[in-house]
Amino acid sequence: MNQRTFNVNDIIGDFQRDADGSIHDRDYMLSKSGYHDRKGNLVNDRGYLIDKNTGDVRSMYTFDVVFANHKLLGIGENRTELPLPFRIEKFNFNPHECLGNFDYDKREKPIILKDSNGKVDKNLRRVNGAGWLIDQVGNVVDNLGQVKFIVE
Amino acid sequence: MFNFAGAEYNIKNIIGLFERDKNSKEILLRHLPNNKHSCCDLRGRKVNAKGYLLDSRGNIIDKGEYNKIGDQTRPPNIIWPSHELMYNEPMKLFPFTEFSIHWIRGHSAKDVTLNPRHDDEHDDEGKRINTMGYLIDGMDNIIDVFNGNVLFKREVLEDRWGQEAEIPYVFRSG
Repeated sequence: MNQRTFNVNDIIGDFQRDADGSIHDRDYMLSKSGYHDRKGNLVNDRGYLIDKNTGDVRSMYTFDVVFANHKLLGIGENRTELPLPFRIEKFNFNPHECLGNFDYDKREKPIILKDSNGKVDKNLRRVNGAGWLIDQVGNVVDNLGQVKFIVE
Repeated sequence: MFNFAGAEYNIKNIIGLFERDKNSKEILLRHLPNNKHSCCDLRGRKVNAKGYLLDSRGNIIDKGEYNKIGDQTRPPNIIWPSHELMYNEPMKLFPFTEFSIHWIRGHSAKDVTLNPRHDDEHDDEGKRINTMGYLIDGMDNIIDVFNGNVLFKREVLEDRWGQEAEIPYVFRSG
């Protein structure tokens, strides 16, 4: 993971989100749930998935440490915010990894296919009207199925 | 999305067209016919390893504009100069990208930009600052006030009072 591959959706818990990607009514939701997301994973007061023992921010896919607790920003022992520059660059993605596999017309518009479930690419993966790969609920995902952008 | 100059662009306009690997679905780069050290897309346009369209100097460019019969009505524009890239990728800047000037400004009781000589080199805590009052490291890169991590490399800064010191426009424009 580097400054241009980090995506905050890899480390954030499963919550209802706002249009800008932030957790809807975060402070209330977190205190109500006892700092657990909808899947029961432990999160910190920013909604990031953490290791119960160390407080390190972890990946939702691999459980690897993404940010060690001592690298997070905060006051005293309460370190929960992402370090810079990752706080600025937290919605990284490579468009080729998130776009479906299509043939293109002369004006370079993708020729999107359809099956019984809706729009698909040449590999029968679900895509939206713009050709971006999506999951069951419409979130934009990459070739590995990892969420890069949350649908509102 | 925006570039450092604050210009809005569509990311689909700066990427090439490629075949995909059957298994990994990753893009398959081709070589330019006259240069095996450069890559191109299906239309023969020069691209970098991440699949972005390049001009001859390595800047990321858009596709230009074409009319309905395929004639070019606008030549490609430079969207991301090569020195603003990192790992062959541009920064992804959205309207909701977070940034605060307080993350990089040194602690000074006075406004160092009002000093007519522009010769302040340290803030009140003895940390190095540039002519705009932003914290800098030994290479004149702008660093954050929390951990001292580099936020803006010197190459992307604009000249202010004889020093590469000002952050890109998009971060100043709100």
